[in-house]
Amino acid sequence: MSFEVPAIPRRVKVYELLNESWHDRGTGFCVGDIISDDAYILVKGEDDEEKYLLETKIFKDVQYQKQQDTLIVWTDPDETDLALSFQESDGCTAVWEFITDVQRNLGLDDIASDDINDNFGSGSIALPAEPTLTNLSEVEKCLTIASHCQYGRGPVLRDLIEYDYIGKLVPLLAMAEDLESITDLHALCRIMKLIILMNDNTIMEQIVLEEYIVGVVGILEYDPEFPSFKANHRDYISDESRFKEVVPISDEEVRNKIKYTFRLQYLKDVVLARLLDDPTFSMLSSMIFFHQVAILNNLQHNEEFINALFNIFDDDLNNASQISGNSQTPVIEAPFIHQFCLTAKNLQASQRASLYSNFIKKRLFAVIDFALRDSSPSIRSSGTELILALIDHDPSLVRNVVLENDNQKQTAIVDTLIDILLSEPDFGITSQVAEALQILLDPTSGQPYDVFRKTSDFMVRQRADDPEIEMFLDSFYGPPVERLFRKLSDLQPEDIPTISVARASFFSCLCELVSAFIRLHGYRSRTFLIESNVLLNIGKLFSSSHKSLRLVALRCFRQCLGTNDEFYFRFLVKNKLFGPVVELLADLGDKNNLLSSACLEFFEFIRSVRISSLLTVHPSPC
Amino acid sequence: MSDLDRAIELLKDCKIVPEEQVRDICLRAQELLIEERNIEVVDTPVTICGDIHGQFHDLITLFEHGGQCPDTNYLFLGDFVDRGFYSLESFLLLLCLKVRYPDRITLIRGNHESRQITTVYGFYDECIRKYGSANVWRSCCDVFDYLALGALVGGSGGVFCVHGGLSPAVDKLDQIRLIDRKQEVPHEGAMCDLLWSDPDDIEGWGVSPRGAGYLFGGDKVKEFNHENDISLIARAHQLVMEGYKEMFDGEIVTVWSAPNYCYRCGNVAAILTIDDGLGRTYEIFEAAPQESKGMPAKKPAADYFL
Repeated sequence: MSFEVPAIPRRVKVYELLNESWHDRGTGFCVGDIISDDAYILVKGEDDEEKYLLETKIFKDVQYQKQQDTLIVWTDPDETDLALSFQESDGCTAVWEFITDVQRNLGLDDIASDDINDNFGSGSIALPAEPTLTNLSEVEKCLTIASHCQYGRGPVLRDLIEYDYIGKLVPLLAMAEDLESITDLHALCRIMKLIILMNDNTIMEQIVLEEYIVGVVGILEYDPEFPSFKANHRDYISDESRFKEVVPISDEEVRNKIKYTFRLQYLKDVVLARLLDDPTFSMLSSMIFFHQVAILNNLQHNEEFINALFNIFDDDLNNASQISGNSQTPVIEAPFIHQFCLTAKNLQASQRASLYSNFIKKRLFAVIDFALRDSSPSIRSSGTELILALIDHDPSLVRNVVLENDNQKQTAIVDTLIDILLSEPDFGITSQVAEALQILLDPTSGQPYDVFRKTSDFMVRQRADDPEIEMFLDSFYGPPVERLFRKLSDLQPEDIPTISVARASFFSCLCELVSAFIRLHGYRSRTFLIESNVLLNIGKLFSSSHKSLRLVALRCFRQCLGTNDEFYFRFLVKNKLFGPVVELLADLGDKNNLLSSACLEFFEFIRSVRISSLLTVHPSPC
Repeated sequence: MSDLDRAIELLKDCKIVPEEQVRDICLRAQELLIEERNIEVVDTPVTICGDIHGQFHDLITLFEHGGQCPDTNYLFLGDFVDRGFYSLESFLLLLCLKVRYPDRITLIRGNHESRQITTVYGFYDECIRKYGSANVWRSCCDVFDYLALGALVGGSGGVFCVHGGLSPAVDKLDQIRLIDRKQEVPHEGAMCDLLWSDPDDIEGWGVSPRGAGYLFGGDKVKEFNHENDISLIARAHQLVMEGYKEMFDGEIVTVWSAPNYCYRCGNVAAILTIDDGLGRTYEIFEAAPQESKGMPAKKPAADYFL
């Protein structure tokens, strides 16, 4: 072995963890030694030179840790937790290098981790019961050791809670700020981070308490890793106006839970975002989750609250109808219900189901319908997200409501969706609405836990017997579908060159729905698409200058091939609709791009699945 | 200064651009990308970069090491988004550069350029946080569908570049031409495999622990390279502590360009430059100090009810 053996004796204190607390074995002088090819750390007593305070072999698979320049901590194979606290950092470094050299020599690269912190000098290791500005380094050292060793965490956590440490650290912030002692402020911040990373529920719950939270985030503003940057968490977290109450929440416990959840969220996403390790991150996430479940469950069963909430809407609805032409959804309620329902997406399916059906009973759909027709894009967007959340949750639930509405001749949600699709200028909303329509009209999307969605034709056939979806599709394939695709069925060749970019997006959206309906709706969509000229007119889109439009048009035809339905094949052949595809490919010439690949795929599909009726129609070259 | 140049300046400062402009940039990018081949042909010299994963400041460092675009010709192997805190700024910067200098930067698709994956691993949430709605996310996802699936650098005897790796459904590069790529990354088939597979010390094909794509052995790499007259497969997709790793007698290399991945992995990053003689030069770089300085990490919710 060829490396430097630390032969100069270095003054050091030896600690051993006994009965969950660090026990001082005494002070002595530390050297390294090689005895018959094994490496040792030896500490001779200060008073009795003959007596070894420590005599330990350096093992390959023990994790040694160096902390704060003067500490080395590890667990011996006999499960003794040991710590060496050096008087000088030089000594610590020398012994540390010896350990890493030996371990490297034993065939292990850098398993020992080197945690370099500011130099704080050596000191005792028990957690002081009263943290003050004078013993911060001691507190920090103790927490550092505890967090790194297997058995240290438990007792230190117990002490932290028993001594009410958070409560005692918070006042120190103001003192250190008064003294303008940046060293203390940094130390406090490091201590708070160490405490948080202990990853303990009880402590986290203390942190978000009204009396502590501002102090805790205040401490975390002084991050020594970003000395030139100071965040302003205190202002943010103490600004009560961020908490909006649409209907006053009388239950104090729920109000507090809402605030705790917000604070936890803020800690997780902002204050601690860079600090969190996976366990602490998931602890925070699950705390937030359980709070949310409790809040939602409480509120949704609070009849008084829910009635008051939806009554506001009824009032607004009445007002709006009085002041006609000025329909403004109240700016507050709609986002509130929106957030309520989106948060509910995280709930378990059964809880979510009861919440949604409870809301639907309270006329949630009237609210959505109202939001969708609002003049503000952000409210309309909330409305579409809400409807999408409901449809995603359970399409059959929504379908049932639509069917009921049909019977009562009320405005149906499908009509509203179609209206928006046809008139909405905001593309984001349009594409969301198109997605909503598609899921709603997907016969395979019925099951609440829908693992089979977008699968085989088999599924389509299976579900086709479902009377509910049958009725739903029957009513859709009447006036609604005609209205939805009117722009396509009325399309004239002279319209094509004048299609604007925005209009192209709109037509693309319609074509994508056509593709989906060809796949999902069998004879229904076929009959409609053929008789209404929609399919024929899609052929015209091939001459558009918008490449993306040519592509979606091609994909509609490709979808027809995928049905393996002779009716479609005959229709395509009879109306010479392969013409545009061939022309497109010819136009592309030698080009190799997305469009040409899509064309090739089109013909490759005909070849590979041997659609005989198509392979035999044109015996001569055209 | 054009709107586009202004957007590039904004983005280089890690600032977001207005929603309407994002939509416009995305549409212009689609117009360009629709003209690209499934396997786009790229000339040498080119600098190949692996996963970025929203580590914006590290992307800026990458440009400092590799040279600015358009001075250097770049090829990015996908996974621009998710995990890091600045997926939006990273992807939009690359996209703006693409629109501004179409011949000097090539972007191909990674497995994270997908609706399904981005809703789980952060890009979706980031868009919601930064814009208050999913519209920008939707526009970006629409662009993802147009991205090329791979690239061929340096013609015959050159380098095949792809995010993941090989597919049992693809023996010849020409077969990739028959894929209609404008779609969400499917769960199986050639397009999925190209974006998901990993090389491994096995013979033939193996089941991938990722649940998508395959593991492929050195024999498959050699067969593929021989069949298609290429000397190297350059791919990304797997964290490499040293930034890059060659395997199977240097016939495949993994390039990883996100240093200190997830702000905690402690790895270095690499980029690979292929010169006109197809020589390889690796450049290693470390995490940008700024990447950790740009606090606060995420924008907090403005108002809350619950």
